[in-house]
Amino acid sequence: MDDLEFRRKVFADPKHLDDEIKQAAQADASKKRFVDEMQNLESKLERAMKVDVPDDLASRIILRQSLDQHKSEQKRKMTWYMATAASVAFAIGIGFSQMSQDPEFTNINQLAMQHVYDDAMYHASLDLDVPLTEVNAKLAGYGAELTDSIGHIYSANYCQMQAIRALHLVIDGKQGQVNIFVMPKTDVELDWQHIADEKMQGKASRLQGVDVIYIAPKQEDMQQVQSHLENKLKWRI
Amino acid sequence: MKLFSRNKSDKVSVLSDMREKQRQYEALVSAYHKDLYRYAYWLIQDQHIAEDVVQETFLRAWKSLDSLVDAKAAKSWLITILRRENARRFERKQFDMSEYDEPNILDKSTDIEDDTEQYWLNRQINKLPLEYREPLVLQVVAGFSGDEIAGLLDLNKNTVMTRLFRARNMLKEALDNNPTLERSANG
Repeated sequence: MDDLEFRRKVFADPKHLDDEIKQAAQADASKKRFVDEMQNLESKLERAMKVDVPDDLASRIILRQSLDQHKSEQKRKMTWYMATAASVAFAIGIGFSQMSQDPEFTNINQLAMQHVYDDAMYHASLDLDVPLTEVNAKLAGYGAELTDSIGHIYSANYCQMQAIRALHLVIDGKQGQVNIFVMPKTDVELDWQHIADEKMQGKASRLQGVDVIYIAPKQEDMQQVQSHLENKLKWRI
Repeated sequence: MKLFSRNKSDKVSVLSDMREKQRQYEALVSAYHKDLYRYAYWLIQDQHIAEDVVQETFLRAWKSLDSLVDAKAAKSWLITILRRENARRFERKQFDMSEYDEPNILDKSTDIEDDTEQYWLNRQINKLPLEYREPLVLQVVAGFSGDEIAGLLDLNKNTVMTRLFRARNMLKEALDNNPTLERSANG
């Protein structure tokens, strides 16, 4: 083993010298001195490299892990909670949407009749004797007009029936007041069937430009009421 | 409903598995955190970042503890995780900073300033290029053999031995050229 090879091996790993190196060092005083010198340097190197480790590092590592584990467990739980909450909310949502499609009001006549019942007290004492011109001004918004008088008009007010803005006319019938709702044509899926209860009846008439609902006393001749209005109803172009 | 309900003995065994994993993990931390910290310290040259990286390393080790089959390979497994964590940090850093900041390790270490020679040696080690410094740390601090270092750094053994030789050679030359320290060493 030449000197360079000897030095390379000692330099590369001074603490683990193989037998060949040890024998060479035994045989040669200068090689022995070199090995000693390098092992001395190695001890210094070890001391320098074994820098102080923060005292509580180990416990902080374990703390971090347990916090992380706790957090991920929480997250797992949260996910479960959220999923549960979402399903509950979904179920409630379905419940509500079914409720809002209140079976009572799938029939438009029913809805109008309810409106009439709700406003009964209000209309009972209301007589504005609305002139035809005012009614026509309001009907213009629906593209319609009355060519002739339809008799006494107690009131002509806009009202809101769910999403539909209707003109609510109260006129005289043979058996009492007749409520007429003039509405823009709607494509909402509704039941337009004629209905009746012990006091009133409701009938819808789907005309060219508007939909009209009549709510009249039960004994009222609906056919007559209908033609009474519809014969005088014309469309503005 | 076997699928959804565990019987009592299952629960107990799951708990004891968890406890066993925790015990294994704590043993790993206590056995290797010092070597890992020192390796990170010399690799990164910043105490605080070194500590963060060690924390990240152990956290990752915890998450994939099941993949550690051979307990004897634990240290090199951890070193590999740490190297990867450090590489990841460096990728992030390149987005964060436009210029590479100087190692600030020396100003923060107060304990080694007392010992002039050690302080000086510390500086010399830090001056070594990373490719020489890293195998040296793995050998001196972590006690890995040339073969093991070759495996960790994905180099052949001869290259590792050459780098170890050059690292010590540079330190020896620096030491020989420093008259102050030579005197103290001889005296």
